[in-house]
Amino acid sequence: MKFRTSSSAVMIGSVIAVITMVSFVSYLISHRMTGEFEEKQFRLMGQIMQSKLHGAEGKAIAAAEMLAATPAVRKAFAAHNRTELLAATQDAYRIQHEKYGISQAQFHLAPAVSFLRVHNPNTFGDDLSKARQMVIEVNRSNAIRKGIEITSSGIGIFGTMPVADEAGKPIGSFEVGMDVAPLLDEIKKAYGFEVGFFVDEKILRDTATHIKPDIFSDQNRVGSFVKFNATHPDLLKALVSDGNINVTEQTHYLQEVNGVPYGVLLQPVYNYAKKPIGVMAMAANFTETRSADGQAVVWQILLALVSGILQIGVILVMVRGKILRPLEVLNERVAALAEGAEGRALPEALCGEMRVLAKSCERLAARASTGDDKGDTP
Amino acid sequence: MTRAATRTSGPFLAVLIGLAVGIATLTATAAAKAPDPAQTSVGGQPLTSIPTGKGLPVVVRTGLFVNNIHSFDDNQGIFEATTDLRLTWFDTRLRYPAEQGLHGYKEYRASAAEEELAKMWTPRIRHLNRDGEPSFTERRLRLFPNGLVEVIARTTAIYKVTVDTTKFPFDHQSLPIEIMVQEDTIETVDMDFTSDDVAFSRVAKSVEVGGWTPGLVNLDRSLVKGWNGDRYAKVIVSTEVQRVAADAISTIFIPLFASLLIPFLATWMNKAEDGEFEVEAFELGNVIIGGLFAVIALSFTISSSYPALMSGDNTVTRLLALNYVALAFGTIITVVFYRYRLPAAWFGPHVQEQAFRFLTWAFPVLFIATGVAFVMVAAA
Repeated sequence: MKFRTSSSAVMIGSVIAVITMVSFVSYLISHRMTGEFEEKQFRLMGQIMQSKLHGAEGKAIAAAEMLAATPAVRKAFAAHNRTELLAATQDAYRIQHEKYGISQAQFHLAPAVSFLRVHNPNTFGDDLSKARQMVIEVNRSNAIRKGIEITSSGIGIFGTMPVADEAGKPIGSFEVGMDVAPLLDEIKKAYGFEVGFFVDEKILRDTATHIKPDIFSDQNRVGSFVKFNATHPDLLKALVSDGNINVTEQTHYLQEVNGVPYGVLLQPVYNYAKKPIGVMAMAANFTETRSADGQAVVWQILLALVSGILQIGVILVMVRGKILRPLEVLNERVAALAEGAEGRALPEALCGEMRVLAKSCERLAARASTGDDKGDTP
Repeated sequence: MTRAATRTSGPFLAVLIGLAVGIATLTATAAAKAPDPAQTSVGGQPLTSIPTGKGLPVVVRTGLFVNNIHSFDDNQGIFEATTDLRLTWFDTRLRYPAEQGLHGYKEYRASAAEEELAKMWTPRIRHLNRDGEPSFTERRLRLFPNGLVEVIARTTAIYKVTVDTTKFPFDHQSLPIEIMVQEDTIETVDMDFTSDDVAFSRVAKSVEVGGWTPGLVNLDRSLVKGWNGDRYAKVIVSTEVQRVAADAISTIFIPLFASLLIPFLATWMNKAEDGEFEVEAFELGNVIIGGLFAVIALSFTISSSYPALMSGDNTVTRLLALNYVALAFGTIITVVFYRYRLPAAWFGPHVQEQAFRFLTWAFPVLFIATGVAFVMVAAA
């Protein structure tokens, strides 16, 4: 193998290898940073959802305590006087409903028999023990309980509390339920996330018997779930499909809609009895991070190409122009000297070392020719 | 005299008493019945005054349905659209028994709606980015038994839009309609939307915009700052549109990449043999100057046809800059190599020859790769 090809190939190969490696590592670092940022964003989305749900539970129990604290309410409930109880609570409930997103208020008798639905006074007396573990628990333990529940009227975030008469004897329980929709709207307003709540259709059909039937339309159906609430129905329909909604633990993925990348977080939602009842989906626009990641790849490839070509250029120009081509010239001269030709003026292109070598070769040739004249000496 | 006076004023007094009884009965009836919207006041408070039945601020919910986008001129930064703006709020003074509503509500259209709206409170809405007066407006009013007022205004108008061409030709643009409450600060009248309003806010399926693909409609809340810390509620309804990139490739990118080839002729048209060049610097200098005029002409053409693209940093301005840099590089090669042969003078003829050979492929590769990278960055 000639030095001309082997030396260039080795040097160019090593340059390409080093630049490729450096660029790849650099890409991995920037890609990892983008990934970590997106992971943090997903974690934040999950924390926000949890925090808002806890906040709503707190609001529900606060409203319940306030409504049930009045002596008139306790007295009417203790006397099992439904009419008086409704009269004592309906105005306060109406204001809370209209202004603060409270959608349900209900008194129960132990263990879980509906005594009065303030939001629907004509329906009462039904046994809730099958679907309302939380109510049973409150009446059994005589302590406050909070959580998401599906009721015959729909889904709510409930705060349920025990109610005692003036003597402190337990008489039943009272709960206030908040709508999920205002909570989702609040998250959207505050953080810009799109949020959707998908509920298991079978559980919803079995339990929420008084819910509007249009919720079970084909348009709302995603696999075995129905879209119960969504801050942007069209977008969430495109982002959450039946292929990815069946989750048992928090998961996330990226999905493009109309060329816009979205990060989607799916959180399974459990009721008070720890039974999965649905999935909460949160979506954030990831255009900036995805675009930054894509741009980093392009710029890194371009930088690698530019630096590689420039270094290859330096190798080619210097090795070929400064070493190989002068060597060819020198080779021709030495070959000519070996053939017995006379020494010629050295070309300007030769560098100092080459010139010294050429002169040494000429002296050697001259000496050899002189030696030839004198004959060999022992 | 007193009797005489009583006799004289007897019938008058009877009329007065009758009138008083009539007024009292009317007031009692009005109190018992829900107020008719045709009334101008309830309990002494005119219906045109701000409704405080649900406390303050009065929350005006906003939704917007895009019926049609007639045109979108990204160069002038305007679009013309026909929209249905839906505003809803509660005015408890307008509650009425449910049986009075034919379909669960009372409806008034066009002039009838205007007549009714003149008698009641409506939020003073201003379209911040509307260009001139609308070419068409019609309103419909619905009054619900619970006091919910719904006004839908169908409007055809031109709106201003700030076009961001950074990612041209792979860009998405938001066509905003900015609606704000004027005169009443956020403490008095607020604007808001719920998921129901977002579901209402979409683009009609039949809408087609030349060169653009319509996407989703987004609602966003904002505030407008006033004097002395006053703030006014604002909602921005943005229709997303995505540019059809293929249209721009033939008209803009092929000429830009074609003109990029001109400076490469400075190396492709010459040949180095034993440290000597076959073509003189003068001839290749002419090629570069020709290329310079071509790029200037292209630049003028783009700026006159697509002025939006010539402002700011985008793929087109970057490619034009790359063209100029390539021409400058071609000029440097012509002067340094062919005219003054500086590499040969400094490093010898062999180095110059090798450098020239290197440039014949490296120069085009580097610049074309950079040009492609600019396009890829926009697409990323």
